Amino acid sequence: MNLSNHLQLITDPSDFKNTKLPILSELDLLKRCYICKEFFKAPVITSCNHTFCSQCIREYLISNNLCPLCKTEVFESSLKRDVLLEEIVLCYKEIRPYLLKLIKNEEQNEANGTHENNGKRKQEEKEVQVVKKPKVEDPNLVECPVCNQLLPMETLQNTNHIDECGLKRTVASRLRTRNTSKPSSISSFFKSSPNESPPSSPNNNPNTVPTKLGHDEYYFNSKTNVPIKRLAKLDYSSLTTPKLKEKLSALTLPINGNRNQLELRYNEYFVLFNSNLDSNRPVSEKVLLQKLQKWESSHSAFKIVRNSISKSITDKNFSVKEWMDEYSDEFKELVKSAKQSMKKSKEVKPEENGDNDEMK
Amino acid sequence: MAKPHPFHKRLIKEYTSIQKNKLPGIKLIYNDDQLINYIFQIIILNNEEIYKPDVKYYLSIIITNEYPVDSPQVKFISYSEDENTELSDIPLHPHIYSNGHICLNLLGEDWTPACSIESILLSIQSMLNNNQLLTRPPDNDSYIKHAPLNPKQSKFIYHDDNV
Repeated sequence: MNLSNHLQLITDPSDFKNTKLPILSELDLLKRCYICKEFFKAPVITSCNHTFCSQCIREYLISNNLCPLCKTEVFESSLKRDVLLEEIVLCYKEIRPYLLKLIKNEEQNEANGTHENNGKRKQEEKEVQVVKKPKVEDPNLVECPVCNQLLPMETLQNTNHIDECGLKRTVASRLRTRNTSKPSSISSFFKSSPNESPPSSPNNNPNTVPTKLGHDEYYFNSKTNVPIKRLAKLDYSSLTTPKLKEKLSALTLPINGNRNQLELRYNEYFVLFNSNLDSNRPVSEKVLLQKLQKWESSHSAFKIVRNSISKSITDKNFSVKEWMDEYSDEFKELVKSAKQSMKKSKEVKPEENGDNDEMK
Repeated sequence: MAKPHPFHKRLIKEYTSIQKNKLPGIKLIYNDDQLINYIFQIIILNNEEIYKPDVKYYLSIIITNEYPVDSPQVKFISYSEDENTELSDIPLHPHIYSNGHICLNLLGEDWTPACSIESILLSIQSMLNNNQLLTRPPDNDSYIKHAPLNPKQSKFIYHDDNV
């Protein structure tokens, strides 16, 4: 693994420590889940008023019923989604790289005037013009900061004129990355892949700063009181395996594997499904199934048994020879280590007893 | 290569934080690429009457697949950093068994995802710093006879909360 590569993809409150506004690390920290340390994904609030990612806390509550922060009793059913916080976090996440760059840039600019500095100053000059010009001409007309054309204020703010202007000036390759970057940040919102840092190339010119994110419109216009159908938690003690399989196939989930795997599978899907409902931008069930598959392929409980599904020792046509050939090295290792540990335990035992006597 | 841990990002953060704020008396000796196996060297600095400050102890921390919902597997180990030094001892403490298993509420029922590797290190260090008794737990002999390899599989009886 390349750790330094991974480190670059990771955002942390400490990123602000060496900037002009180190206090921003506090704000950064508050927008993060205490369990995964990432920005809140579909945040929910507990009955004790603590906030976590829906998926993180639901996963934790399967095996516990205490708040990870204050240890008061928390029930999965009492979790409430926080629509506003989710939009704030999404908004902040998109702004963050520019913010960080800006505070760092200013430090650089003070030290030495770079050409980035010029680019910024140009933009500032234009902003000044934007304020000045309407005074002498039509007050409703505003100059586009990119193409210098005079346009009605509304056109500038509500259409993506500025974006298009910026695009005309940039190379075709950047055009592609920009076009895909915005929608993907929403559709891939639930993925665990490191998509935190938007395409912030080192020579990011100020023109590419988004002028409109739409999170405010989403919050004020969305209907958030739509009743949602959640998956129910299953009481496995009173559920037979065929019944459990019925439940799984009703959800179009695979029904292979042993009882333990079936339970694990339902639990994980239950968490994925219900936390997806807490998101302002839920993904389709197909995506959830893909995630479930990915989770299974990385889960230890599914690894061991996958071997024995293909070749079970209880199969009638089980080939002992093949099995021996495949695992002969492992068997040898095991015999060797067993012999060694037998020797060791014979040697060590009397000593240990002696030690304990002395201690007493 | 094995797949990265589901909370790989969190592990990277914890790892960098451990590297950055070096805790006094605690040194990271070994970690694997997946950041799920760690060996720490611990020196007890503030308890000279009980533990000599030049004696090194070694703590193994293994992150489970369910981390951070589930606590890591933590135990003291006999270890030596090179061939010339002898294997280290397991510190004498009324809550540490001679096989290295530690009876600490934070590692069992009191674990929450809000805890971290650093908080484990700190609480084990303070447990040793505040110790006044050079003894093993009262049930040491019977425990180590039947103890599973993984301390997380044994149910500890919390003898007292004072030590």
